[in-house]
Amino acid sequence: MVFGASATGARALTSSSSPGISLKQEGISYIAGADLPAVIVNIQRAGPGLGNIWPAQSDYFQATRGGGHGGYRLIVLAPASVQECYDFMFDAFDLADKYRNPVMILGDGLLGQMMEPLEKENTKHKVKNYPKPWALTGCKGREPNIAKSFYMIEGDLEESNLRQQKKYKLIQQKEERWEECLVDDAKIILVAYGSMARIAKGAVHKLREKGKKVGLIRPITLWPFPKKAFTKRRAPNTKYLVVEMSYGQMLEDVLLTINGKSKVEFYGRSGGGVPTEEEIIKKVSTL
Amino acid sequence: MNKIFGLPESLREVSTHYCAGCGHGITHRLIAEVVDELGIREKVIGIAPVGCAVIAYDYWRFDCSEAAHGRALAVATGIKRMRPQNIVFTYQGDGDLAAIGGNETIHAANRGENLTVVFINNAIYGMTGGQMAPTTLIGQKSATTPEGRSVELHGYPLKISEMLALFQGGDKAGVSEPDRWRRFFSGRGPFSLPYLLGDEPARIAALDKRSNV
Repeated sequence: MVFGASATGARALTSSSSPGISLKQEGISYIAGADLPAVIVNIQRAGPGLGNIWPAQSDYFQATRGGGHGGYRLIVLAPASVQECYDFMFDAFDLADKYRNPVMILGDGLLGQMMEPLEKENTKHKVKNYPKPWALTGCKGREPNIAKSFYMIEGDLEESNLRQQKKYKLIQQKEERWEECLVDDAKIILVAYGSMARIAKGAVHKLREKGKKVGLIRPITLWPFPKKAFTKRRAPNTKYLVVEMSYGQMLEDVLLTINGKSKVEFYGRSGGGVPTEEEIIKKVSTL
Repeated sequence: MNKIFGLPESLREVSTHYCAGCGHGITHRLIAEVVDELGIREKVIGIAPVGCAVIAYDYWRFDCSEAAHGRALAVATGIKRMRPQNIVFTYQGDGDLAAIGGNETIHAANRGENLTVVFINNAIYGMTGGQMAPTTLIGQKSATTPEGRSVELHGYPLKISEMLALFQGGDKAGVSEPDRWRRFFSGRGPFSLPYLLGDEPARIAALDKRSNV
């Protein structure tokens, strides 16, 4: 239904929580293959399988590596507050239209159940109208448009793949986003996203009160992963601690980015377990 | 001199990739002719199926979309709800409509979506090598029922049109033989299922004659 609505040029959104998102992966792959814009919200619950309905971050691989078949990319935004859920929705639709690419908003059960103040008036967002000459509207006065991801003739699919790779490269160059907290003098940098980053930030402030030089990098785009946040801070005396509500998924992107130039440690819980400030502080003390 | 026969405007002047004896080319043309007769070429949006006819849009000359396996009616619903001024139809075989997309068919019909479905039911999975489909007839031999479909082993064929006709508010899910399908493309009719049985050219030609298309 999202494919069809988006193919007409409408702004289309679907949302679910982990198992439902797995179910939608075939359609998401088709949307990506047909270069259609769409927004997909995944409020992650714990898995695998039916798992449970507690918060988790164990769908990071699924969100950032494609999820469905065929080697496509989603732009993945990770809000950490109700305010960001609101703000990022504007960004998500704009990014989707700008690049003709599906965008995922990846939250978790903590964020999904959260109530907190939201300021709508302060937002600078305006709905942008991107021209969509490719939309299916009836072929009045023009050649027919086709919404498709199917390329039967030899070489056509490869050409389409390469065009998409070019788009992905452009997105990587232009759209990395992250938040930094007290990183400039930090000897230990925590890395966490979404609600986990808020808990990590609490730990950072408590550790600072104790005089520990600890900071936080919070990736906001999970794909493209914000490499630029790390490349200038890859020193042998800087240590990283990745904290996730998983057993180490974003960790792999941090390791790839750090590329052996700093030490990277990990602390994570999943299956509904949420790392606490105290647990993070305890882990930091062992580094 | 009056021109009495020609290439429909809604059909591209290309050869199809279909095998000799296949009925898809004929049904594509029938649809193109109906679209022309109704003068809706610039208004119609078609959903191509999975299977051999996935590239129906290479033959028709109007806006088209593809759909994932069985999801033609979901895509059509998304299009129609955003573009109620357009006439939206799907073109689906029995593997698509009755098996993997059975759920979509039931719910789209029950919701009373204002769509047209051209159901190309040949009672078999043709493209993949002739395996049994939900619509395969009792006793019909196929690659996966070499002894013929048996009720004990495979159950009864799914009677899609009869099932839809039983829906509450049955007027919402109209089921029609092809002789009335022109009406269903008019955009005024409810969800409909022109029900083509068999894909042999002779059979479709017979339907063609009877339907006076």
